[in-house]
Parts: sequence; structure tokens; C-alpha cells
Amino acid sequence: MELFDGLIGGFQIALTPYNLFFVFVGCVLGTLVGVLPGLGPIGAIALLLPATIHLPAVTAIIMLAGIYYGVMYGGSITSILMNIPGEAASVVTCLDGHQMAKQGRAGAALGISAFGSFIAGTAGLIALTVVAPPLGSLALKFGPAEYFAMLLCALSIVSYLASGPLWKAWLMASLGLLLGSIGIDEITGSARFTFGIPALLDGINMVPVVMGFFGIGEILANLERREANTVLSTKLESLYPTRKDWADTAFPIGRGTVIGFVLGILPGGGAVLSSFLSYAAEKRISRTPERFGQGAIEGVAGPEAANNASTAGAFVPLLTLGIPTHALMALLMGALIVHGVQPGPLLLKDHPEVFWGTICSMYVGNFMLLLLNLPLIPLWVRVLSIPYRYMFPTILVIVLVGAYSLNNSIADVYITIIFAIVGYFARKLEFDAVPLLLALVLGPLLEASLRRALIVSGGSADIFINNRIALVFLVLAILIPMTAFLPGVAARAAKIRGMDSA
Amino acid sequence: MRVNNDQLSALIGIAIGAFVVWHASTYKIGSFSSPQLGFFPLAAGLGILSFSLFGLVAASWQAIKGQQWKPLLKESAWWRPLIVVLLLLAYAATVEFLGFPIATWLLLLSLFLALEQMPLRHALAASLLITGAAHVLFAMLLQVQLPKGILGL
Repeated sequence: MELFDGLIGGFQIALTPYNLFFVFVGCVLGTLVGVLPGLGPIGAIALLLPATIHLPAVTAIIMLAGIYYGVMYGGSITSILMNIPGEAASVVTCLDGHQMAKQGRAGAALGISAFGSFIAGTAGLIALTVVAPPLGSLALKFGPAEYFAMLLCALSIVSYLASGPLWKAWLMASLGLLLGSIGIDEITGSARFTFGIPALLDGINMVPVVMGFFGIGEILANLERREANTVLSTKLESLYPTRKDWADTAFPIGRGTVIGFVLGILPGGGAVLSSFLSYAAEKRISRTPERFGQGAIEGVAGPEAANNASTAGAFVPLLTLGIPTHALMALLMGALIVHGVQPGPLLLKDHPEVFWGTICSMYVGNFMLLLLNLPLIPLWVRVLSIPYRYMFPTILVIVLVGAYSLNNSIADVYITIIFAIVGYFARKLEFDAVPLLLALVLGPLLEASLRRALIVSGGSADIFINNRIALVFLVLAILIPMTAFLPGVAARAAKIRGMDSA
Repeated sequence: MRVNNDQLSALIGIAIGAFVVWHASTYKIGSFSSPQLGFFPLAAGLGILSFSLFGLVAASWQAIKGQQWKPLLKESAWWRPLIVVLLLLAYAATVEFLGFPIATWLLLLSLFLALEQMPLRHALAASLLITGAAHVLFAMLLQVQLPKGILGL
């Protein structure tokens, strides 16, 4: 009954003209930015995040969820038409999607990608609706020790799956924890690591860091390479899948949905791992695996479904436990915090309108994307033909305006530029920025939980050892990175890390 | 002996970690039962230091096995990102004085001329168009408070 009441309330919020407008804006902007090659989903969301700052919290997260879905979908378009993955999770879509386009079946590839994403997204959302509330109630019983252990475990797993050697990932995570501690300490009210700079008293906002690393950082990397991107000049025929296409893709979409949702819940899982696993599963199950890589529609349908379902799955730990499972979720979490809403077990109790409004707006956004994007594909194709020499200065202007408008402060613009430079050299020296971003967002929560736990226990480690939930998470946090030293596991983990950096 | 890329990274990490540990220790650390201001940054600094030291050992082992320095800027158009960064810094230094429209127009014009070697007419047209569109979208439609500068635009 509570579930039903929550859904009714959520739809009442999501279906107001005001919020519907911002779902629409989010979906369109997200797809537009997702279509742009060279700007990954993190950079895309970072670019659009400042646009939501002045909106009410519910509307902001509704718009951001629309942007998230839109970016994922936009990435599929560039994968199929240009053989350039808009983001890492779309890499496998390139394998068969672009081959289908070259065979004159771009419409079918784009269409099944859209429909498969819609079906999987809706199924994932239904699962989210059912799973999230009881999990949130369970998490209410968590104390500071459980929280600290859980956050540390999430950080450990995400760092383990980051690209490059483990020591680099952990170094970036430690740096992120340090950056998160800059500013005024919540408990003592004293400033630390501000070096007398007034702009640092409020700490380092996640948004300029992300815009610097991923927004401007991507541009700097692209300018160095200077590759010419050409859109496939093919006539887009019917975007609607045929009866045979549906028959061939029904089970792959179903399997992709389950794989995506389950993996989306796990830290470090996310869209990348789910799409690769779905592709591997379909190839293995298929009676004609030799078709994969040559334009097999199952190779598009399964991964795209997994991609979208993992989005819904990733919202489960974010909304109920306050744990972002990967960088994009960390961004959304940061956005919620900026609006004064703390994701976690108390979200359902203290801000049910945000909880249910977000879930219901995702139903609406998913449907809206399907309705809008199929007819708008010719428009996105035209966007892709805009030369990069006009595109990147426009993106730079958007980033600079976004950075300034956060606090009407030039300091945020300088922080963005500084982190663009840091990100440039980090890329050169093969450091993955994701652990830093996650640690920047989780750091303040991690510190607060640790300090509270130690104060409560009088400095004794018993509060962690005697607490079964905390102990399990701590053991996982330590054991998982140690598996890097086991030969077979190390090779497989390196393969997963390599996927993410693709 | 020349270091490899990872050795350099580790040495930079050690320097950062050492600085963080030193600076954190100037704050009150407290104890495990009563952690104070410097407790968590000290832990983060020790983390940076430890992982960098581990990295130095791992990278040195790779160096012994033959992993050499890989040039970071060779065969890349590194001057293009450098130009962009310098122009962005100049933009940040002048935007509040000049105002958003003028500073943005100058930034775009410089990018088109210096980076893309565009003909002046095209560069002027493109930079004015993008600046105008940005001003209309952000300042007028979205009501974002952008610097007005000396001309009050």
C-alpha cells in the first residue's frame, strides 16, 4: 500500500507541467550533448549540472535523471553512425551497430537500440520501485560504523576496477579524500588546508573539478589528437524494427535487462561492465556466434538493454544507502547534496517527494526519450556534422559559464582550469580520475562516519569488529584489492579495467 | 639513471604526500577516541605517501626489467592544449573587468585565429555569433548572473 501511495504521489509530482518541461529539457539536452563525440557522459552531465543549480531540488534531480538517460542514448547514436562510442558503455554497440549501419540497416540498429533501452529501462525502474523502499528501511538501522565500512568498501571496489595499476587508483582516491577535507570542518568549525584563501573556506565543489577533468580535459585531449570524424553518409530507412528483428532481440533484451539491473547495483558495476557482459553472454548463447562483429542485431539489443537497466539499478544504492556506485552516480549524489538533499536511508522518510518524484520522473523520461528521439534522429545526425573547430569553443564557453554561475565566483573558474591542467597530465601519466571523483564526493561522509564511530567507541576498533555488517564490508574492502595478486583474477580484473578506459 | 613515467609519478606523489602529512600535523590531530581537525587529512596524507612509496618500488622493479621513459609530448600537438589553457587563464583574469560579452568574444576570436588559423572574416563572424547566442541563452533567457564589466553589458 505504501508503495502504491508513493507511486501515486511521485507521478503527481513528475507529471506537473513544470516538471514535465524539465524532463523534456533534460532528455533533449542530454541526448544533444551525448551525441557530441569527445564529450563523455561525465563531462556532459558536469556541463549541464550548473543549469540545474537554481531549480528546486526535486526538479533539478528530475532534469538530471533525464540528462543521464539522454546522454546514454546519445552515445548509442554516435556509436552506430560514426563508430565512435559516445561513452565507454557504448563501445560494444560500435561492434555490431556500425556494421549494421554500413549494411544499410542504421535505422533498424537505432530503432532497436531505442526500443530495447525503453523496455529495459522500464523493467529496471519497476525493479527499483520494488527493491528500494525495503532496502531503505533496512539501511535506517545502520550506524556510523556500518556507514563508514560500507563507504570504504564502495571506494575500494571502484578503485580496484579503475584503469591502471592499483597503487595509482588508491593514490587518486587518497587525493580525493584530501580534497574533500579542504575548507571548514563541520565538527570543529575551523578551517583547514585553505592557506588563507577565502574562496577555499567553502571547500572544493565537485562540479568545477569534474568540469575541469572531464569537460575541458576531454577537449584538450581531442585537440592534441586532431582526428577527423565523419558521419556515415547513409540514408536512414525505417527506424522501426521488423517482426524478425523483434523475434531475434526479445530474449537478448530480457537477458540484458537482468544483467544490467543486477550489475548496476554493485559498486564499480555500472553500464560498462553490464554492456560487455551482455555482449559476451549473447555471443556465447547464440547458435551463430560468427555473426557477432558483422552486424548481429542481438549484439546491439542486449548491451543497450543492459546499459539502460544498469542505470535504474545504480539508483538503488544511491537513493537508499547514499552510496554512488560509479562516477556518474557520484555526480548525481553531489548534485543532490548541493540542493541540500542527502541521499541515503533518511531520504525516503525526510524527502519522500524527492525519492518518489525521481523514480516516477524516470518512467516519464524513459517514455519521453522513446517518443522524441526516434523522430529527432535526423536532427542529431545534422548536429554530428558540425565541425569540431566550432563545437569545442562552444563547449568551452558553456563550461566557463557553468563554473562561474555556481557561486557567481571567478574562483570556481580558476579551479576548473587548474583541474583541467591536472587532468591533462593525469591522462598522460595514466591516472584514472574516477577514484578521485568518488572520494571527493564520499570523503566528507566517510570522515564524519569515522569520527562519530570512534567517538562512540572511545577509540576502540571493537565498534567495527563486533558489528557483523561493518566487519563484512571492511573485510570485503581489504580482500577485494588483494585478489589483484592472484594471477587469474588479476588478469580478469585488468581486462575489466581496460574496458572502462576504452 | 633516467626514471620511467611511473617512477616520476610516484616521486611527485611522495612529495605531495610528505607535504600533506607535514601540514596536517600543524593542526590538532587528537586521538582515536577523540579525532580532531587534522586526523582525517593526516590519514589521507599517509595514504598518498604510502601508495606513492609502493608505486615507486613497483615502478623501479619495472625499470629494472626494462621499462623506459615514454615521452609525454612526443608526436602530439601539445601546443594546442597549451594555447587553450593560456587563453582560458587570460579569460579568467579579465572577464570580471571586461564583462562576459567582450571577454568571451575575445577568447573565441583568439581560439579561432591562433588554433584554427581561420580567415579573419570567418573568425569574427563565428566568434560574434557564438558570443551572442551564449549571451541571449544564459544572461537573458536563463537569467544567469554573468560579469557585466566596465561597459555594464
